[in-house]
Formats: sequence, structure tokens, C-alpha cells
Amino acid sequence: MSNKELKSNLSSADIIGGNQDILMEILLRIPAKSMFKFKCVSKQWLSVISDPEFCLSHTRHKLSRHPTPNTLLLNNQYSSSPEFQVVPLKDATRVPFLDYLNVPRIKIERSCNGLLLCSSAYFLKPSGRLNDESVVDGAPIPPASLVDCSSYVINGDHLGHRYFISNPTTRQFKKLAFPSYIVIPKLLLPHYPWLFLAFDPMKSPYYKIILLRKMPNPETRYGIDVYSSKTKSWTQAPILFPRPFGMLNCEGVFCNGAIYWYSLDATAVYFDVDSKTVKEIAMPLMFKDMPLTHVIYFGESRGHLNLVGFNNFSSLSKLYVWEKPSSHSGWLVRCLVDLYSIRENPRALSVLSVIRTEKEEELMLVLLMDGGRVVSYNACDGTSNKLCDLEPRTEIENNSGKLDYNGRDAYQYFETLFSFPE
Amino acid sequence: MASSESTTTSTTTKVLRLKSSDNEIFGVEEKAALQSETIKSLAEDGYSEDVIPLFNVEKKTLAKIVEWLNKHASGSSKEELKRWDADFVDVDKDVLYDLLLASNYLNIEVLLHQLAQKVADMIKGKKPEEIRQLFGIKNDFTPEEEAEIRRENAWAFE
Repeated sequence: MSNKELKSNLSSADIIGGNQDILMEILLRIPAKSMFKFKCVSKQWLSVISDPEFCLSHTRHKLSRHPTPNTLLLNNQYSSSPEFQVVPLKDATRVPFLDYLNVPRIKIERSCNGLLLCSSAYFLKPSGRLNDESVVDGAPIPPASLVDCSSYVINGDHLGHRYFISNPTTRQFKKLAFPSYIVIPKLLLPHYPWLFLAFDPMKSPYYKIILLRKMPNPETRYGIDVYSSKTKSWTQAPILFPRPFGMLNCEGVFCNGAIYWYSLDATAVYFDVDSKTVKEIAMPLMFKDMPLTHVIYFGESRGHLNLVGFNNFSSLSKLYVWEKPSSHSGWLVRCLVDLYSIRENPRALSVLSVIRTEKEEELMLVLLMDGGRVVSYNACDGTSNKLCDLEPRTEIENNSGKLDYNGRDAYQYFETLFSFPE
Repeated sequence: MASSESTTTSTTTKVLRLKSSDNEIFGVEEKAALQSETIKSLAEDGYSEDVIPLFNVEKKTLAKIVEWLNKHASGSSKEELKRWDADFVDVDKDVLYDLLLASNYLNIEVLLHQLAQKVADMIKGKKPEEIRQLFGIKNDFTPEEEAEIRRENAWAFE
């Protein structure tokens, strides 16, 4: 660039405005939401912001600098509108509605570094029998027909489920298709088969879907099928393993390239996604010594697994927090949290999330207190901050005997520009 | 030339002489100067015994750059550097743009990232028309094209 001539005619601002390298350095540091506005600055800006490679760099930049979620999204299970309650963790982020999916009764099933795996439940013709052919809204035949007995809203009705992968920030979505050789029995079980999402954009721009199902013969085996967005195909045959005792099938969490399930037994299994192998991990030793430990949270933050539980013998104001650090093969007791000082009603508390903070890697517990108050509790220094007040769940849901929101309803939302291959 | 005093007093360390586009010469300790990949490759090309010409950087900008190079080679604590850097990038936008271009040309990655962050913080809440004005960008969309992009991303404008 012979800037001597350029300089005489152009200001530095003009040069920067036209310099692609510098432009990309700046745009990498712009929050995702502003980027949608910036698309109409010029054709050059539109082309940079729309480039999937740049979107991946932007996602990696964001997740490496700001590895904690922007908000928690809470499933408003089976409400007819696709709205979620939000617990703001950083500066106020716009609530992502999933209205663009244009389907009813959306539920977030999994959340992984900016991508959501969602399901949409819809009624089959209320004929009193399960019948795949009679889909009311004309949608394709669902992968599984099931009845969910857990909620009054749909009790006794027959449901179909569709599944979607979506980035709610970019509104990109894709409907999952299941191959015909995966035969899914019509069991009257909620959320079966169990689906999990594996996505770590720091390592790969491709996501995988892990489908866990019971094998028919013999019934003591489980099978795992894997879909890869890279090859756009499912594994040809399931990975089989004996059904472990005490495995909580739907409680699977993606962490460091593996899906971990927690177990009521001394050992649990995990599925290493890349090597497609099922391995064992010991559960916290505390479980053996304290058989009445009641686990109220199982989740992941920044490559670390966390378990939170009460011991029914000890005071209810003491929460045990276990951690399986990424560098460690087993569980450690991270802390014993005495919540006495901030709890109003010891029986009405739930842990929505456990998050390792950005700066000092301290543990932050997001707690829902009686009356809908959500606080962040710093497990290291015992300080707490109010985050928001939640609206109580609808009357129907409360009538179903469900407690208020808990960790199974709360999903970490990361605002990213990530764009997955169609 | 105040900025070069501290470096020329030392006789044991090698000093590189950097020449701005408007012919001002700055002496900078080699260790500090080599934080710039561009200076490093010019020095390796045999310019090191002579004056290294930096045709794209004017003296007022090069003086600031030299100040940054010296500070970042001085062994200051991480916290002190952080404070110092925050002050350093706290300049009006024309100076900021000049520094950004210079750090890009001189290939000083750490400084480039700091300045890009500063510009990003400055523009992130702005409207597209304000962005165009800030960078002298011509709107090359037809009104229809722009309306279409706005429609597709309407939620971000709310």
C-alpha cells in the first residue's frame, strides 16, 4: 500500500473503513446482536458478517474471552407460546423467542455453547389410540409418538415430537431427521428416546446428536446412535452397552467431548463422542457414605461437571457441591455451602445453574428462592446478589404437583454468530 | 527527542533507529522494537545497522508507538500495564485510527488487538448510518436492498 499518495486523499478513517483485515479485527469484538444491524452498513460489511468462517472466528473469540452464558433460559413447559423466562447473568440480553420455528409447545431439551436442541410437541388426532398416520397439523410423522403423563396440560393426549437444532441468536434452525433403521418403540415414556447435543466450537464447527435408546433384545442393553453434521449422516449401527444400574438416562450433560450421565450407583457411564466408546467413571465417594444424598443439580460449566446435593441426615441448609474438573478424572468436593443466611424457606430452594465465573474461576450458584427471587451466590466468599424475580409458573402447571423451576428447566444461553452447515 | 532518551543512554543494549514517513528518527532498544513483526523482518533484512524506514507512519503516530513499545518492554507488572494501556488508548478517534493503521502496518499484534477493542467499544451501539460516517463508508446498497436487510434483521433494530 503506497500510503503516501493515499494519505493525501484519504483520512485514516477512510483507509480503515476499506481495510478488510482491520475491519475483521474490529468486528470480532462486536457483540453478536449489533452485528445484525451492521449488515446494512455496506456490501463489504455484509459479506464479512455473513461469512460462516468469520462467524466461527467471532464465536471462538467470544467464547474464549467470555466463556460464561449471557442468560439462563427457563422452559415454560408446554405453554402454547414459544416464550421462555430469562435469568439475566450479564448485561441485559434480549430474550430470544423461538417464534421463527413456527411450531407449538417448544421445549429446550439441551443447550451447548450457543446451540439449542429443542422439541416441539404436537397432538395427534385424539382417537384414543396412538396412531402415526393421524397428525393433526399435517406435519411429517414424528420420530416418536408418546404420551407425557407428567403434566396436566397434555395428560391423556397423544403427542408427537419434532426436534430442531437452532442458534436463537441468528435464528438459524434445522429440523432433525431420523433414519428409518432406528426403530423407536411407542413407549408411554416422556422424552424417549433420549437425545443429547455435543457441540464445542472451540474444537470443531460441527455438532453431533447422540441418541440413547433401549435395545429390544435383550432388554438389558442400551444403544447409542450418533448423527454428525459434518457427514450429515447417522452411524450405521448402534454402539451397544449393558444397561448400567442406577443410570439416569435423561440426565446427560455434554462436557469436554463426552456425554456424562449421573448415576445413583457408585459408578456412572459416559460416552466419548469422538471415539464412540462408553466408559465408566466413579461417582463421588460421598454417595457411598451418605446414601440418602439427594442430588438436585447436575450440569456443566467451562469444561467442569458439577453435582449439587443435600444430605438428608444433615441440615437442609447445607448444600454439597462436587466438581469434576477437566484436568481430573474423578470428583472432588468443591465446597459445602451454608445457605442459612440467605434462605427464607429451606424447603423451597432450587439450583438453576452452577457457573464458573470468568475472572477468578470462582463458583457461582444461581438459586431460585421461595417466592420467585433468583440470586447468584458466590460459593467462595458467601456473597449473594439478586438477579431477577421470576413469574410463577402458570396455575395449571402448579396444579400438576410440580415444584417450581429447577436445574432441569434452566438452559445456558450463549449469544453467538455461529452458523452451522445446512 | 524525549522518547528516545531513555534508550540511547544505555551502551550495552543495541538500539534500532526508526525513521518516520516525515523523516524523524527515533532510537528504540532492539528488545522493544522487535515486538513489531514488521521491524523484526526489516532488521533481519539488514536494515539494523542503518536507519529502518517506516514509510507508512508519521512522526506523531510513531512517537506514540515507540512509547508503547518501550512501556511493554519495561517489565512493568501486569496490573500496571493494564492501567497504562487503558490510558494509552483513551484518545480521540483520529489518533485512534492512526494508531490502528500503524499497529496493523507494523504488525504489533497485542497493540492491534487493544486498539481494535477500543474501536469496537466505541461503535458497538451505533446505527449503520453513524458507522458509515465514522469510517467514511459509502452506502453501496440500493434503497430496496437496504430495506430488505433491515426487514430480515428487524428484531436487532428494536
